[in-house]
Amino acid sequence: MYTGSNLVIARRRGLFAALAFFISGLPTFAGVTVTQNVSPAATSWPGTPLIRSVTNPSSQATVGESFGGATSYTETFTIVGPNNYTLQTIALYVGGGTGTTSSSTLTLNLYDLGAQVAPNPNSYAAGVNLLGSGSGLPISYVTQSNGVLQLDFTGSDQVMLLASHLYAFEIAGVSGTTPMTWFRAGSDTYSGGAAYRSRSWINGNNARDFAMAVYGVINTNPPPPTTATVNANTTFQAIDGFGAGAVFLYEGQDPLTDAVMDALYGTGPDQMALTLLRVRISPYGAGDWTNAILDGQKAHVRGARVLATPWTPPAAMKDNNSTIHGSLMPSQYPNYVDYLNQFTDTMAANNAPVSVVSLQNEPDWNPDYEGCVWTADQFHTFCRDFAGGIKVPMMMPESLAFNQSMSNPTLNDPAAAANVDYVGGHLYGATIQDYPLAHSLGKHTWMTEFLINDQSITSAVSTGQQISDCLTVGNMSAYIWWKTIGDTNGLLNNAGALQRRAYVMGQFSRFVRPGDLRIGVTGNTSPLGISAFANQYRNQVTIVAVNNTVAPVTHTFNLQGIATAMVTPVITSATQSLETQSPVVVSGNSFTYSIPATSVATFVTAPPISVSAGGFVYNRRSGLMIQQVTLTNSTDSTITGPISLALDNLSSNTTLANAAGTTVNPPAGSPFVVASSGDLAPGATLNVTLQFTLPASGGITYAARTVTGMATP
Amino acid sequence: MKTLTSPFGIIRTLVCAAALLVAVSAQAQIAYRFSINTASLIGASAGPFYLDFQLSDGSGLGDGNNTAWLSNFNFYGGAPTGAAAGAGAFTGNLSSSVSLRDQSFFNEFYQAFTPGSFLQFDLNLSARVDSGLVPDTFAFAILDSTLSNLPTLSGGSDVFASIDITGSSAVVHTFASNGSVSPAAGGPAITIFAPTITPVPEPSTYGIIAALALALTVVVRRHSRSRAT
Repeated sequence: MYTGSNLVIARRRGLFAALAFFISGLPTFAGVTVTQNVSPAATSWPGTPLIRSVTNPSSQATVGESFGGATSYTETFTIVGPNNYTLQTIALYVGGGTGTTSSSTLTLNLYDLGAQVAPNPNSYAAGVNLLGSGSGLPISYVTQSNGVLQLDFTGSDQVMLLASHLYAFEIAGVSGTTPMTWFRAGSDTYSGGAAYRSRSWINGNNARDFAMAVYGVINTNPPPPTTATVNANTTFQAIDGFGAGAVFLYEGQDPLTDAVMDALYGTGPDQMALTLLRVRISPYGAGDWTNAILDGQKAHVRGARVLATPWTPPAAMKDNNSTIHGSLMPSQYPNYVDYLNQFTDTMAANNAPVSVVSLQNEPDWNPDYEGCVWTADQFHTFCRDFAGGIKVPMMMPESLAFNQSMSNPTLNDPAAAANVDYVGGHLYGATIQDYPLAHSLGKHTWMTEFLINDQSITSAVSTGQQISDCLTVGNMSAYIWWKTIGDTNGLLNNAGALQRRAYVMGQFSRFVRPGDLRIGVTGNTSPLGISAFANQYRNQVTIVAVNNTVAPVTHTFNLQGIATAMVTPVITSATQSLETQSPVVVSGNSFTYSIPATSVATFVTAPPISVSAGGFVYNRRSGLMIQQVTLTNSTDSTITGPISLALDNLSSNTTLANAAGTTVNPPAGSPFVVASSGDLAPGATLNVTLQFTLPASGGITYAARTVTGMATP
Repeated sequence: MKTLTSPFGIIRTLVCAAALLVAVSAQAQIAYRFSINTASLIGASAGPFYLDFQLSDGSGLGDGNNTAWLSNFNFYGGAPTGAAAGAGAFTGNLSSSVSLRDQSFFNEFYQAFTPGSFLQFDLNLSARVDSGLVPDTFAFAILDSTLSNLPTLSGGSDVFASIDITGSSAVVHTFASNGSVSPAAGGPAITIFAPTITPVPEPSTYGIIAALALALTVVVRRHSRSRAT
């Protein structure tokens, strides 16, 4: 029973309880609390870190790094199992700098790189940022003496760190600013990680570590699901293809043999279906173009396109009269246009047409072999005043590290940009990035050369990751590996056997075809590199997932705007070579798959409409061969009409008498009939009558293809 | 000592007989009896009429892997007339039997006949399945005097029946004549009901069934005797 006094107490208790309830009900705001000057000149880390890259920060971390020419600094770290942890705090040994301002910012990023073995990888691409709801956490910093900077994470930024996973803790800044200096060791002080500058090993060396300590507590909750959404309603760039080079091949390997070309450019089983071949424009004139012609012919007959690149103009056109070093003299610009045209004319006259001609290979690299230096201004002048005379689509600048500053002046001048069709670049020492200026002008960007002298599956899958990054991060339309053939770095070895990297490229090139559109992938892709593509004319979606880690990754794929009953996985790994796996049923627009360690998996959707055909019956009254075909929506989604049935590769001994027309989209020229002008409900069928003229000899053959949602297939 | 009269012996006998039956049934052979009322053709101005049989190749071009054998023609007051004709791989005539083989893409047999009140014949069809999208197909039509198919409701082919060889359970389609379309040879539209096509056991299957029945009889009698003694 309450008395007057204890009633007051009770009321107060109730007030406190309500207040406590109110407080406990408040959301814990995500973010980070920055505490500076925790331990000046620290000789050890405060508390008990879970991970520390150096034991004595002040004595071991003596090399300062700021943002002079970099955009980020990173230390990777490995969570040693068996436990998962909740991230609480990261401590850094920093100091100096000018402090952050509105133009000199610092942002904390954290990426799950999956089950990697440190110090690998040598570079990484940003996947899903675990901090700041994917946007990272900006921090403020004022200049301090060298000491510990403590970063205490709160709310949802106390992310779960998974056992055996490698994480990249990154501080992103603005190139050319120096808000803060992060100190690192000049040696390998921590085996579970490495230091990175602009997402690549510092100075190409894995034996560096930034001073960092990670604090956390064991987390026994199940790890968050890894689910990505593939959305065909969101489209990006069109794909131009994948290829390799036939340049500077070893003695006896050029011209490429038919066997080599079949292995790489054929579309049959165990052939890689490449569609781009890079050849060299020799500076020694038509007498030295034979191999390029022969290689181009073989590419052309296999349906591939040729990119022709000069390493140097003829010596007489250069200011040093040499094919090595030097620059193209401005007075020779018209002659250089003529030279390029002479090459492409010769190729075309010999049934080896050039689809794209480049102005120069690596104009910002001055090696002691064939080369020619160009400046960005020279490109600008050449493109503005002379490149209009080039007869075939033109590419520039093919810089060593895809340096956009080499092409920016040209693209920023409409008169010059009008003469540029493609923007190419290489990836030596480069960070893969988008090129909004080029893409805003409708210029396709191509990665036209990269090599690693390593034929292991690990290196090959890294190439798969690089291709994925080029297509998704860089929004590029093509990827061309350095060499077609060669033991050290060819897609084929000297004996002509397909290397692991060839199969990895085949995971893309066999299924992602020229004209396909890249489609959206959102959600948690980590640690996979996921890219997806759609071909509306084939009603096919292709998803490529690169597992560049040493553990299998089970991943769920949600499908939006994609009608399919199943997907067929195809895998390349250390032991599998483009091996087709059992189909996986898509249920509720979703499927889950375990992607093997160090592998690339390609998932190809089944056609949403199954086609069953009756036999041919001859009608003497009409004089036509009649065939009944049934189309069935084999998915659990309504398929948007109109629905057409196209007959690809219809045998030449007949015609489709009741064709509504021929397809205008690739593959173009196929006769088609309109099966329905409306939609097709799940499980519903359409009966189609095909009427063929009677062949004088031979049978009627074709490949049936349904096209949906397009009035003109 | 085990005897046939033991339960195991009976079961073993039945299993063996059943297995034999299944094995025989699984042979790539299917048989049908066609029956169609041809009374409306009698005296029709579009005649003379022809029976037309086709065997077209599907995806396995020119493989000759299937054969259609037609026999036991009964014209119920009518009769075959004239000479057999056709295209591709065919032999025989309506007076005896006709065979078609998918040696070519299109194989056809046709021969004139005087219609009676009814027409009946048997079809033995091998049932080897072509790989690929399109099956081999057998079709049956009636042609008018211009060698044009009588119109039917088949959706363009103007046949009275077609059989897609998709395995031992072939897909059978039957169609009636199109009573609103005149024959190409002229005269009024002709009404013919869709043929009746019934599967018939093959002779070999009859033998197996008889053998199985005999075996069961023997087993039952021995079982009865052993109980009596």
